[in-house]
Amino acid sequence: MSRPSARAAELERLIGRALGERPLERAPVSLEPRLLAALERRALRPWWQRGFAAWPAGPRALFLAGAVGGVALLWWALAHLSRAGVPGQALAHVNALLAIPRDAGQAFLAIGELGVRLLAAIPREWLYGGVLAGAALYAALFGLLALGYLALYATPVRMQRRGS
Amino acid sequence: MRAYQDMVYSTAARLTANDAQAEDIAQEVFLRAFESFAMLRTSATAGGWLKTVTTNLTLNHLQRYRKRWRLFSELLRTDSRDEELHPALAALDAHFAELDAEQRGALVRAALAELPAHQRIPLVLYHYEEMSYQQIAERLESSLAKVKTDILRGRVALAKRLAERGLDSSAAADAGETR
Repeated sequence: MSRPSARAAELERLIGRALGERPLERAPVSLEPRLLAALERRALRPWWQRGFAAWPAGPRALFLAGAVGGVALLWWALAHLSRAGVPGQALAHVNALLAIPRDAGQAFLAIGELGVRLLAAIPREWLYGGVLAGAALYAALFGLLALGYLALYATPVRMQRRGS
Repeated sequence: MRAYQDMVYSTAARLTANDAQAEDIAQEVFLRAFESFAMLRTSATAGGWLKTVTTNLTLNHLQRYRKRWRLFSELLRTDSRDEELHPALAALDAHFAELDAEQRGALVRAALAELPAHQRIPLVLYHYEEMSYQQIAERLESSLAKVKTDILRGRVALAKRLAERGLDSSAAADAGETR
């Protein structure tokens, strides 16, 4: 009896030969009309839904000019503000903007603290029961999905093979 | 397009084992090819470009489903042990050779489509796309050992299915002749 590695090599050769003999499959006749229809749909798209490279020269030039102008304006504004000093009103506005993430952080902390207090108030037995019930539901859902996979996806072929 | 459509479609069909998905992928490949038409028109490697794009698009498509089903598919142990190798080889050699090329092509297509995706995909990449085990492992984000195991098991399962189907076809042909 041949060694396992020799048998594996022989199997590789046989499968390689069998697969190699399989000719190219003919593309369905519907492929070409589908492709032409899709190309036509693409061609009918308005220019702003296409890539930047496909935009007409006018909008492309306007967009570039707008982008360059925007950067220049921002540059000028920053330079002007640094020279003139930041007025008190602008500083207050910036402070108000910075207060938003600070307040949000405090709100999250408060919610977390509330959650911890609520957890502490719930009897231990309820908590353990809830965790167990959650785990049981998760396991049941997992089992259902596995059964669904077996029944709808994997079983027909396996059963057919067993039956043949 | 006509020169390459069978190649593009076959590449996608072998990996997906699903005609509708293969057609969708082939359409997407040619749409991308039309976007790069200026480059491809004069390129001597247009066929290679199309094949690479097809393989990548198909694997990306399968990857989405693979993540979803891998867990369950791998719970099913369709393992084929080494002791199953010998009968599979003997049966394949004996019966498969009796069929003509067209019958063999149809059998291979049907048997390949029956393999689970985690065996079929590396097998197709190895035998049709001529990728190494290492390249397949990298492309599928899998371990080298798993790729080797899946390919070996895929070959055994394919050999068994081909042998079984070959037997069925031979019996059908014999029955046809005696009628």
